[in-house]
Amino acid sequence: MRPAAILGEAWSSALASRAFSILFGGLAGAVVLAVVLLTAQVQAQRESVRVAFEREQFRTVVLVDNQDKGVLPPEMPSRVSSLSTVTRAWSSSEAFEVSNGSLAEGARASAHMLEADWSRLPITLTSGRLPNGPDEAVVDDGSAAALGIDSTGGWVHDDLGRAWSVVGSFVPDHERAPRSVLVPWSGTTPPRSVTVVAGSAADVDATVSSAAGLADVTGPTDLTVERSTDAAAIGGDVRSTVEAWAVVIVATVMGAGVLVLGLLSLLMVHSRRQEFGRRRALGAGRGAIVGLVVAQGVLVIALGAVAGAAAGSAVGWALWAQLVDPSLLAALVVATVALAVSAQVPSAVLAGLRDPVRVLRTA
Amino acid sequence: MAETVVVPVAEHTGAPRVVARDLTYGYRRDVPVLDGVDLDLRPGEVVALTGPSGRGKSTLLYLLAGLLRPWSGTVRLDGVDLGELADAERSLLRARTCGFVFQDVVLDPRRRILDSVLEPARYAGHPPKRWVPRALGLLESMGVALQADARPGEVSGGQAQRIGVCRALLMEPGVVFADEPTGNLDHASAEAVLDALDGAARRGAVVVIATHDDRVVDRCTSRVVLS
Repeated sequence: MRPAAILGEAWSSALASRAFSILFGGLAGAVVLAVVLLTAQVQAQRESVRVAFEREQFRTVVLVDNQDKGVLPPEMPSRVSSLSTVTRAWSSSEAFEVSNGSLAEGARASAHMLEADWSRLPITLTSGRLPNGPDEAVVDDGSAAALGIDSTGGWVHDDLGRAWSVVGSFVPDHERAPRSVLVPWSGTTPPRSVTVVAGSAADVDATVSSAAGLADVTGPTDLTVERSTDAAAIGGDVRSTVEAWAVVIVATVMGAGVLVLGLLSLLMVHSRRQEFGRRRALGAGRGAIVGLVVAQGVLVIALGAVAGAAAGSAVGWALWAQLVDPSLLAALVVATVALAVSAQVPSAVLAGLRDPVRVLRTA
Repeated sequence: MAETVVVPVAEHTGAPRVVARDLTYGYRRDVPVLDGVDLDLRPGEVVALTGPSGRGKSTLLYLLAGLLRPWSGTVRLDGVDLGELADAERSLLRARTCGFVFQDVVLDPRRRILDSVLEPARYAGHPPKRWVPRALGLLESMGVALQADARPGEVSGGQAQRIGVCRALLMEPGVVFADEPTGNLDHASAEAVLDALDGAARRGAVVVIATHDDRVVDRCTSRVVLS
């Protein structure tokens, strides 16, 4: 038989064997649908993990002059801020203690001097305003409560007699944002630390290298870099684990699908043994019979797989707003058809090898 | 094991179209059903294969059609030794040269009658559409033209057998094999089937009929008795 005739016969057979066609196509469609949905869900989870670990606290790096050698130049925040991979930076003095100037006896709280563009600090004002000069301070809500300062303001002072008017209160935006009592930088003391926020998690390594290059480091122990490497690693691990499980589930679904398709194909060939015997007697060669069974499977399964891919894409978009890469969809359909064909080959060969005389004598 | 006696009833001339030499075959090891069968079948000959059940009438038919490979011996169809052909070549030769009428008609239950009649054209490598006029003509001549668009479940046994004959004759085969073609038919249907087979022989085909039916044997031009 000519290939076109085999395809035509296969299509006619597929239409005629509706029950098997629906089973074959439906199974292939269900497998592809499941895989596409799983892929879309994994994409959504990956995106959600990526977004979670893209938060600013995981992009924040702190360079600490832990031996007080003055390796961090005072102008470092402005220089670092000019880097393309940096969204903001500030330097901080070593912590010192302040107390409420209005109370003779009161609790003490830690304070830091900041060299920064105050309007770009990752803090949110809950009352008042940001400092306008070196004699003004803002206090985080926790320190304000500890010091007994309410929203109407007040003032704080340290043991050296320096005093600052409290002009506002704030909450830090995340774990690595500045907190405690914050006052504008004064004096010439080099900063104790410089905090740098990279533009993205992927920029953190480059940002650390660039920022460290601006420090006056003379030895490997002069500068300590604090960063959320663990968190980033956990994020990567989570993504890898999700992907690994997805691969296992996809392989299981595909494997089970292939097995069921193979069994269904055997059942189909058995139920059509008289037909194949008749075809052989009328002049169909073994190759034509094998081609007929395989082509019928390819047509039906390809249709089912395409329908499953389309349905999976639609549902994936509706549920998770995720579109699976079209090339991945195409590869999935091709892989499904290839696997299904391989599952059908044994039954197709069986159909081709079936003795037509035995069938005709027992029909 | 069957003995073979060839009884010529009429004289046929010309080179034999089907030649069997020393055919031996059985379904179980060391138990031959046929042993040493020799046949020469010429164009226009209508041969009845007769004998009691189990003597190998259908088996000889299948051997001559190349559906079975003999344990020993040869079958030549139009000078071509079937034993030397690969499966695909033998199948194509069968599709282009032979017509087959089965004891049970074996029509595709899922297809129209016309499509069933056109089936051999597909295996012969011809576009079935080209053979539609001939298929309709055959159905007309066999009195089943009205059933062309029907399904096999909608026709009687006699009509189905006539349709089977149409299918066998579609490609104007040089050899027609018929296995008990009138086994389950009434007189009128049997006559119609035999008339069609006679017509094929008159056009130069060899017709080989395995049968128990004396009506059939009486109309054949030669007889092979397997006893």
